[in-house]
Amino acid sequence: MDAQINTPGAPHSYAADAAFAAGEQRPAAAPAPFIEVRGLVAAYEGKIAVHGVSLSVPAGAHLSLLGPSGCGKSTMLRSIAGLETPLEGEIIVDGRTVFSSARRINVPAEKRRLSMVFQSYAIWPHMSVKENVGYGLRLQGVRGQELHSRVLAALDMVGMAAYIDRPATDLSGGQQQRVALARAYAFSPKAVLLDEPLSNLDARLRARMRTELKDLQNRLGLTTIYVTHDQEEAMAMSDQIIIMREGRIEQAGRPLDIYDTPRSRFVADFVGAANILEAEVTGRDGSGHILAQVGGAHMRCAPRENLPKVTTGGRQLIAVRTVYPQISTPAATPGESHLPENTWPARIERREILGDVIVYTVGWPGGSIRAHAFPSHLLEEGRPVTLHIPPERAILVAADE
Amino acid sequence: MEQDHGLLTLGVAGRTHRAASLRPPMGAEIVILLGALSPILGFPIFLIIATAFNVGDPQALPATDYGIGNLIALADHLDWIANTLLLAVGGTAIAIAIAIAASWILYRTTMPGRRVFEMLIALPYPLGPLLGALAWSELASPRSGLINQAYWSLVGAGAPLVDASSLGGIMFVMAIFEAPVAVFIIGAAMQRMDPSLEECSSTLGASSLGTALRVTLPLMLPAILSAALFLLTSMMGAFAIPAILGAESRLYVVTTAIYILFQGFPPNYPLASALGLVLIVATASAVWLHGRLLRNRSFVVVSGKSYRPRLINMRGWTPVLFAFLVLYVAVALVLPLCVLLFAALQRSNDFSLAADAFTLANFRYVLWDYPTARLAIGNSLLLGLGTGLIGTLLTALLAWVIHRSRGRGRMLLEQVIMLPQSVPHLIFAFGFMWAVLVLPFKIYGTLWAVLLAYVVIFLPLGYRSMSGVVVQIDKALEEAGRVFGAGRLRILAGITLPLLSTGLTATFALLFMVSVREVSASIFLSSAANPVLGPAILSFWDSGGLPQVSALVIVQTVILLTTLLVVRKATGGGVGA
Repeated sequence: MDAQINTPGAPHSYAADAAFAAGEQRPAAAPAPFIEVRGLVAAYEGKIAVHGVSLSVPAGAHLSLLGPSGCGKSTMLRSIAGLETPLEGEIIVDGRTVFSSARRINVPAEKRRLSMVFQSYAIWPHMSVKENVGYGLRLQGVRGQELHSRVLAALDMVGMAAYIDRPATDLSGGQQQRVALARAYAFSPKAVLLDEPLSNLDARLRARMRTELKDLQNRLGLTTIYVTHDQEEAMAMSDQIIIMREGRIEQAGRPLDIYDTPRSRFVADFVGAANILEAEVTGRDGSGHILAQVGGAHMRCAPRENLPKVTTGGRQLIAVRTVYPQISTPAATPGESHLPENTWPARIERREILGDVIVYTVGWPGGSIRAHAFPSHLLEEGRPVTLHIPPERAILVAADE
Repeated sequence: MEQDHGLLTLGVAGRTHRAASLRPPMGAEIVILLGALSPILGFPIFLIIATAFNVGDPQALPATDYGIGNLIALADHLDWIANTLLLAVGGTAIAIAIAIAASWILYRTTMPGRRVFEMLIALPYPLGPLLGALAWSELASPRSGLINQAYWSLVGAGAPLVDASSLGGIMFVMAIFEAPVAVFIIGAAMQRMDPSLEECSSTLGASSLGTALRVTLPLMLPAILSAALFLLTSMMGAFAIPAILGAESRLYVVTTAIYILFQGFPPNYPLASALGLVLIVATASAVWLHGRLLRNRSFVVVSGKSYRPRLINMRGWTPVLFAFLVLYVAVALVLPLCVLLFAALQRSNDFSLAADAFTLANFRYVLWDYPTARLAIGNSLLLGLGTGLIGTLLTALLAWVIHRSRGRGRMLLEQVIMLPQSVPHLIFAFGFMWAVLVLPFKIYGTLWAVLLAYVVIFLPLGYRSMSGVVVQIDKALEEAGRVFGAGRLRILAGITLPLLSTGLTATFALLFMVSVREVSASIFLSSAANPVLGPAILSFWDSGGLPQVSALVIVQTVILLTTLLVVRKATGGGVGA
């Protein structure tokens, strides 16, 4: 029997992919949007940073704006918060228009009842922790015992109740971050905006805070917009991800949908690790699957109605996530004609042992491909193997501009 | 890059309404500030320029006849201009040499007592030029200087050993009293240098000296040039030191010549203005060059990423370097203070060491008996407080508006604020005096005129100080206030001001000190009825009572030292120039 070295989990339904492949937009979520942005055009330092972006966030949902630095995600967030004035567009929060260029509406930030967690935390050093957390509440007229108990409750949620009377200058980075969270949640905002809140923490702390943050959000059920450049954060925490690049939306959807069906090379590369193969499309089979020639290999790929944009050299790009190529070690090396579809004889070219994962570079008739495997069975470099790429995992993606 | 037109054709379907344009409009506050400041700063300068071209009746204001006759007349007085330039260039060169050595020793070696030296070396500057001028006049005047007298008692009468009234003497005194500023500027750059640049040189085989010359010095060049331009500007407009030291030998520079022309009967305003114009052009050029040097960085010395500078153990050289620092402190601080104290305790101009030649009467005289002196001290304290308060609040507001608002014209406003530094204090003062005379309000001769002049002249200094503080406050701290519901005023009071408090105190103290020690700005604006300390000291010295004037300078020094100490305690650090 072929020994499977890496076995992917059961693939999820492809029906949604068929709809995607047919070019339909994912149907809008049933509940009405809590935050809606239409056609936002915004500038930053004299240049256009957001080019006519629209999005909508249902109540209680967590949306992440994901992208490299300079893609306009922070400008979008700050525009929603009211800290930046966009050039054009509309922003509607809980049914109320807070910004409209056409109708000349611009509600100032202090009146929008949205709270924000800043990348630098913005904890006021000259106030105590209690004064920091209670700042928004005090401005709403909450005083005395009620103020104290609400501040305490908010600090308790982030595990900082003991620090309530300490000066803010006593806090470490991670503690400041929690106090910033407590402050954001304390004043019962309509929604919470977070601007890369974890990026100043070290990796270990970041992973822990991510989980805590997610628990907190599940408990409170607040609508959240979260800006980050870290795809793990976005994947782990979001109901919806919008990937932005150079001021425009590259792709929007649920985390796993984006992961499984990236639309462009940029998205395939940005979220998760992917092999990008250059191919010629040779045809289409009866069930709509695309047939392609990758180097010396014939390959059957995922179905698609319209072919995506090709490279300047006229090549079609196919993305294969590194976790999906299956490497097996057959008892005997079969002849190529005996192999099932999308299976080829191959050879381990290089092996990188990263600990939790082994990265194999596999030479196959289509060139070289990277595959991730568990460390349970190690294969030596030079070993002949069999490579299988499930057709549904070979996604045609658009080339970048 | 403006893409206004391009955007409208991007085809965002039908939407051509704009909530804001790519180039935001000039904010209301900027317009108001520009409108208020420009005439106050520009009018005096305009009057000077106008009078410089007045070839008609010299007393007429405004002029009847315009021409360049005055500028041509300057050709007869090229020695004044030459002296000014020589002193400025020579003094700057000496001061920079001292400063490079001193800041190297202070910040890059393991010299013992560095912290103490840092404080002592910084002192001569805030104490003011009168201290140095008077002390060195008493020490090294060619006919009666104490050093010369001691020399003659050893070798017999003859040529003096040192001559403070010579070009070299004045140059030397100016250099040692302006060097602290250069130490501050160059020292700041040395402390922020990335040590790995020097370490790399060492690992490739260079000696300590080789590294210092081939790596450190070139990297310090921008700071050195910056300090040099600053000193050049300052020395070209210096008044007190050339006035006191140059009087005996009739060595005039542009500033002292202007003063003499004003005292003349009748005063020759047009020629004085022409001189002033020349100096303004020279100073403004130096300032412009300085601005070009700093073009990518702000005017402000903001502490960026802090490195641990690599300290070098100079081993055998340590005693030599130690002696150098001791020598500087002695010559710039200890000796002058001792001489002045000595002179202040003398009964008469004939200095002697006899026991009966000492008395405390002089202090009683200046602090109590002589009303002009008492009044001058009081007025200067008031002026200090006033300049400190108004200047601090004004520059805080300006710094906040410029560094926090989005409107266009912020940089223009900053240029206008910095305008006074292109004009030497003395020259600005007489332009201001004319402006005040022209105005309908009767403030000429009152303290208000002096106060206003001080606030304007010290605007650049205060702005630089406050900018440094404002820029370091994280913008997010104020934005967070907005997000959680605070209006602009509440943020200003509850967040911005508390965060600025140390900076406000430091700026207040700075402005207080510079106004107490000021001479050239108030010499035309104060009067016998409203005396001010700096000019009063000069006129005291003019009338010849060395012990009394020394006592008055000691009083001024005590005020300044006390302020420094108090501020150091209050802010836990030094006050930067």
